[in-house]
Amino acid sequence: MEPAGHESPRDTAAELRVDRLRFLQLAGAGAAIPTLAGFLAACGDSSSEGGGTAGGFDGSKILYLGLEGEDGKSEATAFRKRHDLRLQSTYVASANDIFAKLKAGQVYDLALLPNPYVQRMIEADLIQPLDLSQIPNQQDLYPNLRKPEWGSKGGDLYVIPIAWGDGPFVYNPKNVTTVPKSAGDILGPSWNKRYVLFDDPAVPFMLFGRLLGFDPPHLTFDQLDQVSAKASQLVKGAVAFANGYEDATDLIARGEADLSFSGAEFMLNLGKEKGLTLDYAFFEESHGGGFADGLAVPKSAKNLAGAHAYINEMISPKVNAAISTTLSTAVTNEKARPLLAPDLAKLYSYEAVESPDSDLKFEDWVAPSNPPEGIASQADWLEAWQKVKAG
Amino acid sequence: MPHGPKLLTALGLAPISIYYALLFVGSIGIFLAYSFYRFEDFDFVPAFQLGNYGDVLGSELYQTLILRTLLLALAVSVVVVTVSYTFVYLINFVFARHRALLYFLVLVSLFSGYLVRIYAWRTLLGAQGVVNEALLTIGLIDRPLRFLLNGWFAVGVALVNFMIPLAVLPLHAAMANVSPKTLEAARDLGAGPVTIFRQVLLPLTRGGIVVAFAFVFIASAADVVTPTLLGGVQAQMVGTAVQAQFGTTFDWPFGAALSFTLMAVVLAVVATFGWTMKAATR
Repeated sequence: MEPAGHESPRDTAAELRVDRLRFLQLAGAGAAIPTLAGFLAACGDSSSEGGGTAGGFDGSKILYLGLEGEDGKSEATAFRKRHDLRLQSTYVASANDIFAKLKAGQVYDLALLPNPYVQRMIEADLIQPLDLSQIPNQQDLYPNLRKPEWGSKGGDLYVIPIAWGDGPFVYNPKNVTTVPKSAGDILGPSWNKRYVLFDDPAVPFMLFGRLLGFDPPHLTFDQLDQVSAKASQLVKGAVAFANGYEDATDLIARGEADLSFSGAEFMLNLGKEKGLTLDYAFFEESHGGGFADGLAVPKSAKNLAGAHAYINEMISPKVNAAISTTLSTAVTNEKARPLLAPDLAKLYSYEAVESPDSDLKFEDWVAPSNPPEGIASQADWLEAWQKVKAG
Repeated sequence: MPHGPKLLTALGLAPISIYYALLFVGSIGIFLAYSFYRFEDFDFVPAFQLGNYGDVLGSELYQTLILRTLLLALAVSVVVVTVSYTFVYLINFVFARHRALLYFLVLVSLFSGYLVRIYAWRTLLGAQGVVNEALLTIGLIDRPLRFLLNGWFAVGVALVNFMIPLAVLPLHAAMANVSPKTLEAARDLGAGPVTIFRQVLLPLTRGGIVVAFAFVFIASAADVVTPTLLGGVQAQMVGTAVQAQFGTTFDWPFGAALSFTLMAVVLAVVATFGWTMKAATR
């Protein structure tokens, strides 16, 4: 049971209004007695739980598409039980797969989108504007996350951030005595065959683009060639392409590598599970490397009421804090932070999402799909990356 | 043939035919059509144009990846067919009494999951793996051999391991039809081991060899998981490029063209192998 008081009074009022409406509709359909029982149960539910939004979705199914761990599978169990909701999740390895599945016309009620993908999803007409009247907890998000530019278009908001973080590299301090400062340091002979990469051009191209003084992800073809040359050196010196954060941690734990070029703070927890102490730091070119993951409602969604209510629940203080604890990411709801364990609450600088002058930017680290003439597209980046890998 | 048996035959073939027509031929047909489409603004524009194939064939990158993939698949196929053929021969003609047990030992590896076996190879070949630890312990090396994992060696070794059961089955089916008395008769007529192999055993088992080669070659050329997890940064094959086109750039028409180009080259190699075997054993 969730304790009352974590939700705003607005939530309770909204639920009561809608439940009354629902009661009248169902009573009119001649289902007075069972509906009255359901209504009373729902009223009791809302008063004791203090949360939830519109009804009309009880007993339904939510089809989630996204990364594992960000669907509230264990964190939102109580909410689903209260509303007899079934969660059917389709997990993917990367955000690109989300795009591909939605583009193929598959039906989902919720899609988990990292910040660089939101605008391209809007452009491709794959997600729809959110009805914020059904997501009252949105008002409690940190200011920089409430209506971020990367998640909006034409005054509409398309995504609600549920987690955010930065972009460190992770290393084994037992074997790394001199922590690299720049991404360029990794290209030196002392790092040869000591690090793992992810099979994705985004991070190396961004970092080397900045190292060379360019403005990624908007690279000209000549700049892309120069960045690719650096990336070739990087790939040649790597041990392997890790198949995700867990695999990267596993490779470090097995002694195959000392550093993961792309990382996340929660790898420290994964390392602990393997009896390994890891640490993290940032390349100076990364500028903190901010990311935010948010929930959006695809155009193909059938259960709109359920999707909106579920998003609202995912950013409720208790659930948001639980997700943060699971993933070691930062919370998006201001009221969730006091619920975090002290270590986790201190792990991120929340000034980044409170202050408009924050250094950490949720940048677009994926090349544009339809760039202006002379600028390399995402397809060009991928082809360049394939060439880099082919040697 | 009377109508009754014909009808029964048709009914018997219907489920598998419908299954393959819908799920295999149908989906392949859809992707073949996609390979002629154009990709514009995230949309697949229906068209009949060969631009995607031209881009694949004209690209040095994809030529390199396809050639590299074919060479690895060829090397794996030759090793697997040779090892499996020898193994099946020994089981059938030398250790015939223990045939059931020996076949079971080969096929038991199919009971474990593909990914489990890949991770098992990581454990064996890694810097702190069983092989390196053993070599370090007995003093043969003073630092771990890094080439064992994350490169072509690991991909080759793992693929050979995965493919042997696939090759053993058709080779066993072919060799089971060769009577030991046939080989004995050849020996009685004065044929030496090489002649018996070339003029008796090879022609009688040719079908099994071609099928085993085809199984192994096609499966190795199409593999994505093994090079991804064991190949490190060196062992890049064309499968990962196809995957990237479908997943990362969403350019399904180009990905489909790349797949069909690979499929055509692989089928050409298999057909060439079949004709060569036929000519060599005529």
